[in-house]
Formats: sequence, structure tokens, C-alpha cells
Amino acid sequence: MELSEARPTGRSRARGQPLGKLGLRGAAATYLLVMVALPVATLAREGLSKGLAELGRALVHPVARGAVFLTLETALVMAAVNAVMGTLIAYVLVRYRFPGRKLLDVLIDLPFAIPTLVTGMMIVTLLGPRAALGQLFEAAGVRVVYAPPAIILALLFVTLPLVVRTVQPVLHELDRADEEAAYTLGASEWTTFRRVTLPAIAPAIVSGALQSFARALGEFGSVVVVAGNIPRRTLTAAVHVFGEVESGDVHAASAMSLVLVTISFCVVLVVSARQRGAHG
Amino acid sequence: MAERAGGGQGRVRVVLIGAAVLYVGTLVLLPAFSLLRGALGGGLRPFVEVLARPDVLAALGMTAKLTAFAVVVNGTLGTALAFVLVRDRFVGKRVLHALVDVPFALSPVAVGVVLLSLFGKGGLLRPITDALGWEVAFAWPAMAMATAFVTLPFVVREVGPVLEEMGTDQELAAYTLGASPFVTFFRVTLPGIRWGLAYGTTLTMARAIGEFGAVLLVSGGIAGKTETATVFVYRALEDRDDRGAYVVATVLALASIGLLLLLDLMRRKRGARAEPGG
Amino acid sequence: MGIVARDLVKRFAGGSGRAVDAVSFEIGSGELVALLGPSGGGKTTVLRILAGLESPDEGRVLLRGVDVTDVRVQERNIGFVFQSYALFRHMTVRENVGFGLEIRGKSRTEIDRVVSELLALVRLAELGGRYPHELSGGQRQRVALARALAPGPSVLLLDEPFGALDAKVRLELREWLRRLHEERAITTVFVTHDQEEALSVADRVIVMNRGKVEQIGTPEEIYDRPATAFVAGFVGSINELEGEVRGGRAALGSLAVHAPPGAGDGTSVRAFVRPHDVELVGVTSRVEKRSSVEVATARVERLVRVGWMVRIELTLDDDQPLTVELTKDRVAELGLAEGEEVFVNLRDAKLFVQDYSI
Ligand SMILES: Nc1ncnc2c1ncn2[C@@H]1O[C@H](COP(=O)(O)OP(=O)(O)O)[C@@H](O)[C@H]1O
Ligand SMILES: [Mg+2]
Repeated sequence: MELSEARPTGRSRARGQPLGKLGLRGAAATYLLVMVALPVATLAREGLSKGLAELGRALVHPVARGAVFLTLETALVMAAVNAVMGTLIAYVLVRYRFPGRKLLDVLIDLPFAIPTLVTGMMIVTLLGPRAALGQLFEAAGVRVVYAPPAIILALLFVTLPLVVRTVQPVLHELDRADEEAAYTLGASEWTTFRRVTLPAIAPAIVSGALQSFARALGEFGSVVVVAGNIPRRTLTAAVHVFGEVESGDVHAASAMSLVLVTISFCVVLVVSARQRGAHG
Repeated sequence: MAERAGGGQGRVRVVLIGAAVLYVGTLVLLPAFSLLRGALGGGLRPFVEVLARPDVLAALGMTAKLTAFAVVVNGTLGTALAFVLVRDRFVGKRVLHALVDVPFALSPVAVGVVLLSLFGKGGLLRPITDALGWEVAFAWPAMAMATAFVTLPFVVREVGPVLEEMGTDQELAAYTLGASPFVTFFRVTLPGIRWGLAYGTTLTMARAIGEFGAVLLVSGGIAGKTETATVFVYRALEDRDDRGAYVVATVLALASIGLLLLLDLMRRKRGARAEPGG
Repeated sequence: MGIVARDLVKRFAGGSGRAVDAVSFEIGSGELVALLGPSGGGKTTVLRILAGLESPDEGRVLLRGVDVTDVRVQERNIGFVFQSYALFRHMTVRENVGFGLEIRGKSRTEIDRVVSELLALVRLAELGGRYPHELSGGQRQRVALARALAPGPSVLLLDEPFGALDAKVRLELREWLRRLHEERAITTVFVTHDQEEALSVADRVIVMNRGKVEQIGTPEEIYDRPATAFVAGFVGSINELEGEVRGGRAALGSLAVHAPPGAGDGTSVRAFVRPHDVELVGVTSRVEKRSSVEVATARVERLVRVGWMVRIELTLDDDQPLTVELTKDRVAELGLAEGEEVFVNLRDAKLFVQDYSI
């Protein structure tokens, strides 16, 4: 290409923004606003359409209140178990080499891939009243399916990857020299884990647990199948929303959704604020 | 990384590995096998029979259609969004960034509720859609919106970091070699983000196939018309059509396991290329 | 003229002041020029302005006599080698090198021919099928060069081309760039912060600091006649002494050299002394102090062997530090050891009148 052929193109050059690019970017931003901001605004508007007092009334109804409490309770228990077991699994995956490790690593993601409704069915086929294992528990006087334990089980299943996948990379990045230094100073593996490793990965564990908690609040597909959905006993908030929609009360459904979404948002905000803080 | 540890690691190691394997085994594998057994208990014949049923075929077709929609829309606009969030500087960028993750924080039923209050009976936008003669709620447009909404973050989240890590050096190098921005995008940028895009798209697919709550609320559940595979399974369970529910659930589970293996493969491929190359 | 830069000015949004401040220079066709200066001095920005990757706020750029200030980078027909190499990661070496030709719609056979020729030139003929991540740093650098050369640019611009390489590879590639330039005679500008690299490779050197041009000249001019205190300090000097003019001589503590022309008594001066411009007369206990020359006594603090040379760190009797370099043999001849007193004398120093205008 000859220089003399070069055409001046004014101020817009390689760094300038061609119109097509601007259009695409505008479309992308608009898409996000319409798809996300609009729904959130709608939810807030519907939930609050009859005022805060009405929102409160919708929530003090015993069925609604029971659903919120059950949801929080089961999510809390799940988050605690998940924090411990997720950390243990991440530690094992990062620190040990053993046959089947690859498979274990892949299995961790399975809950993300499997439809939550199918997750619920799996649990029912395993522990339901017609399953051998279910009858065993029944005989022992323990009700699993159509009772809170199945809800917790379903939540543990669907949130399994969250703590593992948050802790794993942090553990991986962790300088092994820190732990080795502790060993050379005579610390046992447990002491080293508690005093050196755990403090370093604690923020990730908390992040992962909070994320799984937020995710559990809105879980629907698996819970609706395993819970039995008995008002005030095994009816969670998300299933309650579904019931209200079915019975035609979109306003009550909006109010409950708004509560769920608000709690989730707060948790997610805490998580992202922590992450931003951790990055400097 | 070689395995080393201090102290009496032998027993600790065995106990920890055992605990992890046992936990994942009971929580994930056992239920999965139990489902498979339920579905294949009567052999392959009833399995095939169920798959030939028109309502099952229609439900699977609807899921495929919605998934394709989500992949196309979020593949293109999600990539464009990633560009905006990584490359552009503007007021309100942080807000936009935070908005991307909102679908992950929203319960699927809440998404359904929102769509109903927009397009359902007495919905906010109902006058407009009625005037235009569009059927949105209890028809595929609302289901498509629900699916696209819940899968929106995947492509953005996967492509964004790749784009950030790649920087603009390779693109500028292409400019100095005479390539136009258009050619540069297709020859340099797109190949550079292809693994991120493929990964994000596969996640989108997995999530779209499995979406249930939001779609259930807005689908109206008309058998053979507005039913997705997951909604079909739910109705089949309600109707005591256990065989139908098991078979379709198994198909869904197998599809997601297939996608999962694909993801694992991509992760390894991408990992091999992740070192700085230039 | 190959390249003309006229009064280039560049301010960055958010940056304080001018990253490039009224920079002008002319580079002849076929010249090999180094842009030398400390990090943050504005060298990369100037190079990017020449390439068209950055647009100047003020000033013009001419390539081969044509004003290209408003011409897009794609149409400037330049070859640019990025500091990070910026190889296309998803393309093989051959695909990388052929990219510019492909863009220009050249035929497959011609692309193959040119790519093969260039890969032979950069001695990578066997590695054409590899991906960038399968190459060493030096090999990547050579691919980046071949890629920049492939379309036959009229100007070659290189940003810190050897910066990220280890010492041995760096020397090799330097030599190689010199030879390539002799063969192809493309107008070439390379950025470096390494004075030795600039002085040994380039025909001419442009020294930049804080966005301004400090001096333009041949390596000899830059080294022997630094125009500013900055250049004297940046190029080849380790020792910096303070003093003032007294009786036509510049007194630097216990040492003295001739005063700069036109500096009256009492003028403050700064002297830059190269390590090899310090004469080590001998150990005080073994040689007579000759009164005809101004010698000072100093104490040997440390002897550091660096290969064939020995770096000797001295403290003058007025506590100013002074570094000298001698060969191993000379040190043995003088019988130097740490802790001994020696006579020292300055053969030469670059003197600058202290600027109090700040
Ligand atoms: N894109 C940019 N945005 C803001 N400031 C920049 C940018 N590029 C360079 N600068 C600033 O301009 C000055 C010169 O930078 P540069 O040209 O990279 O120097 P050099 O290559 O000599 O190290 C530096 O102070 C740097 O921080
Ligand atoms: Mg630089």
C-alpha cells in the first residue's frame, strides 16, 4: 500500500468509534436495562403498589410468615453444612492426588448442569415412601421426603459447587511455602490448617456460603418436588409464591417475591462488596 | 504439583479423601443412579415408547427452541455487553456491571411473577401487546424472555475476563498490519475469545434446558403447545404419569451430563492455551 | 526524510501534565535511530504517535514526506513490534507472519514465498507450525519482527524490543537487528531505556526525559559531549560530585578539574565522572605524592569483581563516594586491598553549572 494513496479520515482513527460499534454497544446496554432493570422496577412497583402497610400485612399472614421462616431456617442449615463440606472438598481436590480425583472434580459441577426439578425427582426416587431407602428411614421413624430434611438435602445438592468453586482457586493460589514454613517450625497438619491456611481462605468460604444462602432462598424446582408443600410446615417462600400465582393472587406473589429478592440482593451486595474490598 | 505434607498425613489424608468422596457420592451420585434405575427399570422399550409420544416430542421441541433463542440472543448481546463493560468507560458503568448479576440473585418464581405482572391479565404492558395483537403471556414469547433472562449473565461473565486478559495489543498489532476494525474483530478478537464464548454458551444451554420455575409460571402449561420438557415432567408427576416423568427427566439429566463433559473438555483445552502467548 | 516529528504534544486524560511535550526530530531514510530515556519519559507514546496508534494533541507527523497526522494506522504502511510482542495467540507462526499479506489480498503462493523467506531470515524456518505459547521469548520476538516486516513497511518501529529477554539472547538479537538493518535499510526507530543498547546499535540517538527531547546526536556525541546534566547523568556516569568554581578550577571537594567555560568564581557546579575517567595513582604507602597534579586521598571500601573488571568503591577524604573501574590485572599490579589508602586523580569530568532557576 502506498502512502500517497492514504486518505485522511479526520479525527476518527483506529481509536475512534465507528457508528456500527456504537450502535451495537447501545443495543447491548439497552438490552441489559430492559431485561434486568425493568423487571426489578416492576417487582418493586407491584410489591409496593398497595403501600408498605399492605406489604407488611401480606407477610404477617401465618402461612406467609411460616414460609419465610422455613426458607431462612433451611437455607441457614444448608449454608453451614456447605461451608464445612465445601471447604473440605476443595482442600482435598487441591492438595491431594488420588484415583478418581478428576471424576470428583467434574461431579462437583453436576448440580449446576442438572435441572433442579430433576434434582428433586432424584431425591424422591431415592428416599421417597416407595423407595427402599425411604422405607428404611420411615421404619426408623425419620421422615425425610416431604419434610424439612429433604429441603435441606435438595438445597445442598443445588448449591454444592458454590463453596467448592469459590474456595478452590484461592487455595490453589495460596503459596505452599507458607504451609511448609509452618511444618518446618514443627506445626502439625491440623495446626497448620487452622493457623495458616484457614485464615487465608476464610473470606472465600464466607463468600461461597453467602452465595449459596442467597441461591437457596429462591430455590424452587427441587424444593417443590421434595417438600410436600404443606402450609406452615413444609411450604417454602418460593413455593408459596407459586401457590399464590396459581390461586390468582399476583399481588401477594409480588409481595413475597419482593421480600425474597431484597434479602438475596442484600446478601449478593455484601458478597460483591467483600470481593471488591479483597481486591484492594 | 507434587503432593507433600507434614506430620502424620497418611491417616488424615485417607479420612479427608474418604469424607469428600462419600459426601459427593451420597449427595450427587446416589440420587442420580436411583433416577436412572427408575427410568430404565422396565427396559429400553417403554423408554422409546414415551419418547415417541407427541406431547413429549412437543415439550422437548419447545425446550430446544427456547434454548436456541437464549443462546443466540445472549451469545451476541452478551458478548457485546462484555465489550461495553471491559472496554468502555462511562458514567454508571458500575451500576451496569452490578445489573449483569441480578438474574443470578433473582428467584425463578420472582422472574415469572414479574413477567406476569407485565404481560399477564391486567399487566402493565398488556394494553400495548393487546393493541398489537401479540400473545405474550402463556405463549412462547414470555417463555423465551424468561429463559433469556435467567441465562443472561453466563456469556458476559465468561467473555469479560478473557477480553480483559487479552487486552488490545493483538488488535492494535492487526491494525498496524493493515487490518480494518471489522476484519480485526473477526480474525483476531473473536478467535481470541472463542473459548470463553463457547464456555459461556454451553453454560447458557445447560441452564436454559433446565429452567423450570419462571417458565412454569408464564407457560400456562398447555400440553403439546406451551410445555417445555421440565414443565412436562412436573405435570406428569402431578398426573401420576410416572413413566413419562422419569423418561423425560432422564433425557434432561443425560443432556446436562453431556454438556458438563463438554464444559470439562473446554476447560482443559482453554487451560492449555491460557498461558500468555505473545 | 524518512520520519519527521514536528512539535508533538500529548496529554492523557487523568494524567498530570504532558506525556509528550513539544517533541521534534527528523530521521533520514534508512537510518537506525534509538529513542532512549528513563521509564515514563514518553518514548512509547512518541512511537505510538508515529505509528498512528495514538493521535497527538498538537503537532504533525510526516512519513516519507507525506503528512500522515490524520491517516489511519492501517494506511501508514509501518511495521510495529510491540513490547509484549502481541502475537496472535490462536495463529501459528506462519499464520502470524502471513497475516499482513493476507489482509492485502496477496495470493497464497506469494504469501507462502514471503513467509518462508522471512522465517529463514529470522532462523525460525522449522517452527512455522508452532503456536506462540510454544516458543521461547527470543523466538517470539523474532516472529514479531518477521510479522512486522512481511508486508514490506517503509518504516519499522520497535518498542523496547529486547527488554524482556535474558542478557545473552539480547546481545544476539541486537547484533541481528543491526545486520538486518544493513541488509534491508528500512528506516528504523527503536525504544530502549538501556543506554548501552542505544549507543551500540543505533546510528543516532534521541534522548528523552519527562516528555521532552534532551539531545539528539550520534552515540559519540551523546557519550562525549552530553548537552545537558540529565544526559551526562543518564549516559555512562556513575559518579556525581558537587563543587564550585575557584580560581579558574572547579573544586570538587578534595579533587579539582578545569572549570566550565564562562563560569566565574563562586559558581556552583555539578560534575559527572565516568568510572574509567578516574585515575588511581597508587597506594599511598608505596608511591610518592606528586605535587604537580591535584590528587586526593581516598579509602578503598570494597572491591567487587564483575567478570574481567573490578569495581572499586572509594570514599574520598571529604566523605564523597567515588566508583572506579579497573581491569583485574591492573588491580593486582597496584596491589589494592580493602581498607587501604590510595591517591586518586580525575582525568575528565562532564561539568554543568547548577541551575537554580527552579
Ligand atoms: N494511556 C495512557 N493513559 C494515561 N497516561 C498514560 C498513558 N500512556 C502513557 N501515559 C503516561 O505518559 C507518560 C509517558 O509514558 P510512556 O510513553 O509509556 O513512557 P516510556 O515509554 O518512556 O516509559 C507516563 O507518565 C505515563 O504514565
Ligand atoms: Mg515504554
